[in-house]
Amino acid sequence: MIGPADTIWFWIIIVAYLAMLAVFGIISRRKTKTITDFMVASRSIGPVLLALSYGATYFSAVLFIGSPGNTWALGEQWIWITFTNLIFGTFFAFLILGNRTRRMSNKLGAITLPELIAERYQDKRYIRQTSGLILGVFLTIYLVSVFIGMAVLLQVLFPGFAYAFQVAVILCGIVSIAYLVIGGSHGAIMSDLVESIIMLVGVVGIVVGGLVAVGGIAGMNANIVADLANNGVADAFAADNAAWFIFPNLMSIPMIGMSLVTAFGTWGSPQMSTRFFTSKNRKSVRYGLLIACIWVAVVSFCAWFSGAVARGLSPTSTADLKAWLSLLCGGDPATMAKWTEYVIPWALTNPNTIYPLWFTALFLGSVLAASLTTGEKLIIVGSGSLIRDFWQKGVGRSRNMSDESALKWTRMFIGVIIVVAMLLTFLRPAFILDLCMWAWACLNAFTLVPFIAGLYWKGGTKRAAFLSGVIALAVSILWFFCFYPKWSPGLGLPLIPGIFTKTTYIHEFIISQAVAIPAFFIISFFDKKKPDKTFLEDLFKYVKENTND
Amino acid sequence: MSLVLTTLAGMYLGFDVSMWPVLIAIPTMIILAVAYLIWVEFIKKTK
Repeated sequence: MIGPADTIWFWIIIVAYLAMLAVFGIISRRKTKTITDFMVASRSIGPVLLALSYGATYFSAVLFIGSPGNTWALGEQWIWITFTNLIFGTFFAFLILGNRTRRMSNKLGAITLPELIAERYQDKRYIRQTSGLILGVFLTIYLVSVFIGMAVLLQVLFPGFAYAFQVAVILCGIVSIAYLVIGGSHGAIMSDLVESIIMLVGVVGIVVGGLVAVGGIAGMNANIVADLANNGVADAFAADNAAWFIFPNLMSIPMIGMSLVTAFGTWGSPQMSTRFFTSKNRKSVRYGLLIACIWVAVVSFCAWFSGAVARGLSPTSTADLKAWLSLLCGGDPATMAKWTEYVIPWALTNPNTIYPLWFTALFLGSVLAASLTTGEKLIIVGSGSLIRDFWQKGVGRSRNMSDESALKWTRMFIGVIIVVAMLLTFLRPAFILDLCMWAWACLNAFTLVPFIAGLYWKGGTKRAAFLSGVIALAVSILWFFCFYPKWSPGLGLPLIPGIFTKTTYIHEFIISQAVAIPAFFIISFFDKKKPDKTFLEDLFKYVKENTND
Repeated sequence: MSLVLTTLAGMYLGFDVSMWPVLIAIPTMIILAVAYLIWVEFIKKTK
């Protein structure tokens, strides 16, 4: 266990990290004069920063803390998620979306995803203000999960203090406000460079250190086999221990579902797609593709594989982990039920850990970096969408807000979003992670199809873009309230119980997209109000031009 | 090349046979990314 005397390493890492963020914020302030500088870093980002910013935004603390638990409990096959994240979430995202998004956003002067969709479909009002509001609201909900993840980890800085969680939440909020308000996207992307390296070192270190300690893959596998046998009927693979190592097996359906959701979900996520808005030229995207693929492959593989390494640390690892957790939480049944979330904390801080304290502190820095790199984009994009799309160009457009005022208000709303997210974090709802996955599905429901179709197909109409988004959003909301099987007892939810269980539930992202795709094309086909041909010819000619601007 | 390298790595490290495809697939994607870059930046450009 970590005692008060051990926290010195944690404080050294955290203070050094905060100092670095402050420096980047101050450096970036000089580069941030207009709202374009603030939101899309002046469209000046080269291949290395683009790739690392993309990768660092892709993965949050969930990959470092939640993912290893899945591998531990549900088998080595979860490493396959690395492949789908790599091929669809990164390679094809850069290849299909990268340069077209960059050029189209440049041509249309768009600095947010709602603005790009609205300008592409020549919409003056409905798409822009509705998606601006949806993005602002759901990105804030999403941010809560990031804050909870960070605060849970930062509690180790205050051992034995009753309000450690609350103090940690406030610390997260102050840090985020301080450097984002000053530096905007420039500061966030510059810090991504260092943060992505910290993430890489932390996650590679946990795998390499573990393998060295147990005598390589052979030693790890021997310990896992012993642990599977010792765990008996309590294990998901009790009937066939060898199945833990095999793909496919009885746990393959949830794995395939999650791998597709996490791979394709990035395509319509505003915090991911706006990475391409920031890129400088065609070479940034092309060279960035290679760098991003390498970074994502290493980090994702090590993160998923670390669950296997952690399980292979001891022949009685599952029993050891549960005993350690029981001591930590006083046997609290709610915490014990989520024992797989404590795989990595156990590996790092159990009394017989093979990892030195300085490495544990470094890994804490990695997880903090993973959270902040995702959180900062959510905050900037959420604030920008609310001010730029919902107000400046939407509901409040008659007020003629200038870009200078919009920049000031966007900075101010960064503070507002963080404070709202902090207040929601204090409430700490039990099913927040699933709620955030739902928020993520809702974001994609409104943006994914109109965004991608708009890059390649001239036939889409603004009514189709708006209505397919509304329909998909409604489906996503209704599906979650009607069928989601993990609602807390007493809420009267789900409205239609008994259809799905935890292992058979189909994620609302898949359902909403299955509705949005045909809806978009059918409405476009029957819509008599076709888009302006001259505008589209001009736009697509520019997007397809073979230049390196 | 990717196939040979990952198979040899798998044999040396002792990975279970069923997990070899993923160990082949991941480096193959990296090689594809390199091939794409060489194609668009050097070969296609000089044509």
